[in-house]
Amino acid sequence: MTDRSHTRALVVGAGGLGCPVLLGLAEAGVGRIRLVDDDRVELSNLQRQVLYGVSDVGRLKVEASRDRLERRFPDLSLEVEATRLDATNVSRVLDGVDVVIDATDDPQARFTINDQAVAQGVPAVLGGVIRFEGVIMGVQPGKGPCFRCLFEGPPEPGEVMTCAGAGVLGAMAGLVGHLQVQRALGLLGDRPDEAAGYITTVDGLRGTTRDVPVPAREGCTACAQRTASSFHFMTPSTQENSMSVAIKIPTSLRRFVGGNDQIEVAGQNVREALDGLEAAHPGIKAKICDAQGNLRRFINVYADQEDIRFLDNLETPLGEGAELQIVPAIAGG
Amino acid sequence: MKLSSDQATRYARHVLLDEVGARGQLRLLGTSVEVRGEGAAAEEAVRYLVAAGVGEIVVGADLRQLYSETWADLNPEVRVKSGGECRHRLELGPSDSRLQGAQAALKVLVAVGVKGEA
Ligand SMILES: [Zn+2]
Repeated sequence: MTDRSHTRALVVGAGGLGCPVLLGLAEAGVGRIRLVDDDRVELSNLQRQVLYGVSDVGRLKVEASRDRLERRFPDLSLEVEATRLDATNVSRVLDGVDVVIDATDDPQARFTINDQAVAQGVPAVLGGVIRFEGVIMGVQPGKGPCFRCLFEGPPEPGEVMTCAGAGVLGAMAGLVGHLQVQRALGLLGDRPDEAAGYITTVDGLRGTTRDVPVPAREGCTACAQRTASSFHFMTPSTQENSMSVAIKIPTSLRRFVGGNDQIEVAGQNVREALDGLEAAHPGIKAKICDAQGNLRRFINVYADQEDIRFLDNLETPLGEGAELQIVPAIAGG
Repeated sequence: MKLSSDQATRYARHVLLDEVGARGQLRLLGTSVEVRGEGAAAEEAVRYLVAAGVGEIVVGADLRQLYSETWADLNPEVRVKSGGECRHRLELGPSDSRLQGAQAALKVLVAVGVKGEA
């Protein structure tokens, strides 16, 4: 057996996918696992979250999994964190791992993991399961397509189908989780190319899986970040005159701006540009920012192809002719 | 027959599926599956069958000795025995993977929960 005792894997999510992923990785001899999840075990989880039991109900999943895994795999070094992964902590959580496995049921987190894994050069396995369907995709940063090449962004609020809303056949989570493990071990192995570049779809009713090749998409903001990150620089924001900024409006928001797909405004940073947009088309800012004026969770804003969450957020400076792209998040589950 | 309120909560993700519903869950609770094999694949299949509420499961004595406590904690209402007649049977070899175990369990859940086999 391949020695994986020094391999470090990050597992995000200790739910339906996390349970088989953790068991599978530990059994394959992966020596170090970092697990991040902020949920507690509920009775309705036990229909598919096979690592837990009635005695765990009410406990943090990370603590329950630690107990179960440590008893079973005494050599495993498991580092757990009862946190919800988001844009503010993803780079720290990803730091130093050899592979990351997305085992969340949160489509937004899936994109956050994808984007940051690509930016930090960490191989990733994205996955989702719902009803009788599943998807798995391995990503090799800087080589071939990423998850965002396939789906530009996560779903809009309300469009998201989750297991809690639509149901899931229990063993589907097991099947998808173990396929994720297989893909992760592939990315860590001698022929990582065979584990990336396509998405696997699982049809649980027919009992079939299908590998669909995914072309790398030109203009993918996640992949662009990878190529641009080595000479990343800020546009100076000291000039007094206001900059002209083009804001690209997504289909779903065009009805708030008279059907236009692009609006020109003035502004030296993202906040000023959005205020300019609001002045021209009152009501639109509420679709992008919440009552506190912060960016809504399911909205991504890119300033010249870079996610402003990784820059200075709403204070990200904009140069003359800058392009601001608003991307509402797409589905998963 | 109806699901108790505890069962309705525990199996909510199955009941939500139109193709399964409360009727499919009741069929799962009323069926029996024999899992042959002693390795990780067999263990994995049993985990998912237990979690799904398959009423009665028959496994080899070794596996039962190792995991009966874990399974009882996962789902106390499932009976795991080491002998007896069953409606369905899975065979998993010692070199089969957990993936194959989950896949085998899935097949039974689809046959009983969705397609209406007893
Ligand atoms: Zn990409």
